[in-house]
Amino acid sequence: MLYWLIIVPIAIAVINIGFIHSDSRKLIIASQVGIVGYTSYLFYKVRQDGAIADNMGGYPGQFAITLYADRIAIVLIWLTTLLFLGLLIYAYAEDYFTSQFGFLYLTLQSLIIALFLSTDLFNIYVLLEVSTVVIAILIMIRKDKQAVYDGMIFLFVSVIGSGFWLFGTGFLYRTFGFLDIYAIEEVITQVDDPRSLILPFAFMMTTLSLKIALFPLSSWLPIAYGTPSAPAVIPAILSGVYETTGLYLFIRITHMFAQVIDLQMFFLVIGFITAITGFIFAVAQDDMRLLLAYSTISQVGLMVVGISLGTDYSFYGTLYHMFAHSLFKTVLFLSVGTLNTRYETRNIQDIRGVMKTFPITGAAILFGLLGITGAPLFNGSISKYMISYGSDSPYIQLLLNVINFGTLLYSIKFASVLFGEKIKPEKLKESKDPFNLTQWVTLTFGVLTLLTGLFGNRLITFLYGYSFVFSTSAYLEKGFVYLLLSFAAYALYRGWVKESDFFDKVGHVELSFNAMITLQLIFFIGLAGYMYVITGL
Amino acid sequence: MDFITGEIVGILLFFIGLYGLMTKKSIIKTIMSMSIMESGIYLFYVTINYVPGSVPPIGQQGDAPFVDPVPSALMITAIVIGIGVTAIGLTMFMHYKQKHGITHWSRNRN
Repeated sequence: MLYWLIIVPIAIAVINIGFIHSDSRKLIIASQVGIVGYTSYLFYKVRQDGAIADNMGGYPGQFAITLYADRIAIVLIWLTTLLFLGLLIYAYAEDYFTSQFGFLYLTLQSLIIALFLSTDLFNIYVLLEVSTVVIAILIMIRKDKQAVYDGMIFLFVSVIGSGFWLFGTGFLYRTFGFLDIYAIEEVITQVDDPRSLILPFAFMMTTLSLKIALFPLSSWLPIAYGTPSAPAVIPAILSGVYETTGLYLFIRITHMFAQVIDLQMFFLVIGFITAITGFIFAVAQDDMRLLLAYSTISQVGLMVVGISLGTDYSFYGTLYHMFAHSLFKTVLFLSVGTLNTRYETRNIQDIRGVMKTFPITGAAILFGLLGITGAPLFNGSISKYMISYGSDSPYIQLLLNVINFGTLLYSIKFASVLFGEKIKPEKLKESKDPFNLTQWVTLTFGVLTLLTGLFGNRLITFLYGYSFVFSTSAYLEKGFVYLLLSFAAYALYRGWVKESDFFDKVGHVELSFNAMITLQLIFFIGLAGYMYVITGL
Repeated sequence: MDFITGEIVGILLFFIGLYGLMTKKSIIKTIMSMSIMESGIYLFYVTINYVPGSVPPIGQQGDAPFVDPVPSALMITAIVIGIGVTAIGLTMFMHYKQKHGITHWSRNRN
């Protein structure tokens, strides 16, 4: 029954573009409501009876193409469908919501759901490849010069990355004779020579590190997210949903190899480097969308740290952070979209007084920023608390605080658009959206960041079945640290960052296409070399 | 000459393609290098786990063992996807060149 989640969006997409010649927006939205409902039902089933597995064609597990939904996958799919519905309502009155857009959008939804469900390594390759193509087309939907260039960079870098995945899959097939993730996991300890797994692991992890934009493979991300002409929902999907698929695969593949290859230390270090470089670049940006793009890199670094810490606390903290990140990043990207259409700019220095001019969007931005910085009561505080609880090393605690300090730093920069003088309405571009639908959708997601924080503990138990005892005193202590860090970040921003030449220079660093590919190879060689030399496999 | 097997040549082709991707600034050469890289992967797949003397998995099985058909089936799919991606890449490139006259990756995007 899981396959309905994949077939229905594709079927609606085809009906929409092939058979309906009038406005099909209502049909698409109705189908989304249906999919959300069906996913909720499946979530209920998984909660009651445990994971669902669908073997296609009636073959036994390891030979069939299997769709598998455990608790983690179904929660992410549920979130994905909710976000896709919300984003469609956001886009309802926008001029880009044509039947072609609907076709691409629904196809992408189907591919992303399939990425969460599929356990077949080759299927995952196909899904990665096709979703790359769909996203590249969505990025350049307005066909202007920069959009086409950005779309090409994204397409080629990702396709070459997927090539690594396919090669890695080939090595695994040579060793095992099948391609099912869970089947391989079961027999992986029986491999005679663990060294034969180094190459497939290095190949596949290079792809995934590229997909989730780990350092030094993150240069494509700001290019793909920051395309000026791409509609606001595109970076929202990329950051809120697509990024999550990469992280989910990252978790599953590291888990698959975990009994033989354990690289937690390696990815812990890479995660920290990613998080720190991410926020340094984020602070340096004046374009709001680019700031958020680099912020995504920084948050991904944090999540990889959470996965690599290796304890249950930090693991479920990371899962919840993925959930929270999808919500607040969607809020922020959508707000930037709204501001961009009204002010006709995305430069932080040119926008002031959003709180007075657009109180609804202003409030949404505030919720989003409080979420991302982990303010007490908001969802980010719960997940970050759990991640930090997973380790008692003082160095890791210090580094986590450094990351949060960086998050506060760019959030303060972002928040500067909220305050200042109200702008006269005649200076703004007229809105084509009579009901303020875009603003209300954004605010709804904003309120969800608060609600998922207030009821975070119960929600984690409800979603993942993991109960976690909160220490109120430790939580209050975190709140106090948060306040201190905010003051320090504000002082540093006003005193140095705002006028600094350093950030001005950093903000304009961009790698060429050839350099991006070279870094992929260097990462691959580094990873394989690390395993051969350091871990002594 | 035993070391010249499909697997080794496949791996070599993969890295030759990658070398082209790292060094060539022309977009059309990027697309060609990508195809070379993919050909390496196809070759690698169709030769893995090949037992000398085995026969195609068609008809009745005689004394000789059947060849594993899965890698070939996978590669049919991969080739189709590869063609699709190449076609889209070329379409983008043509559009870009005809409208804006640019044929090379350039760092200054604006």
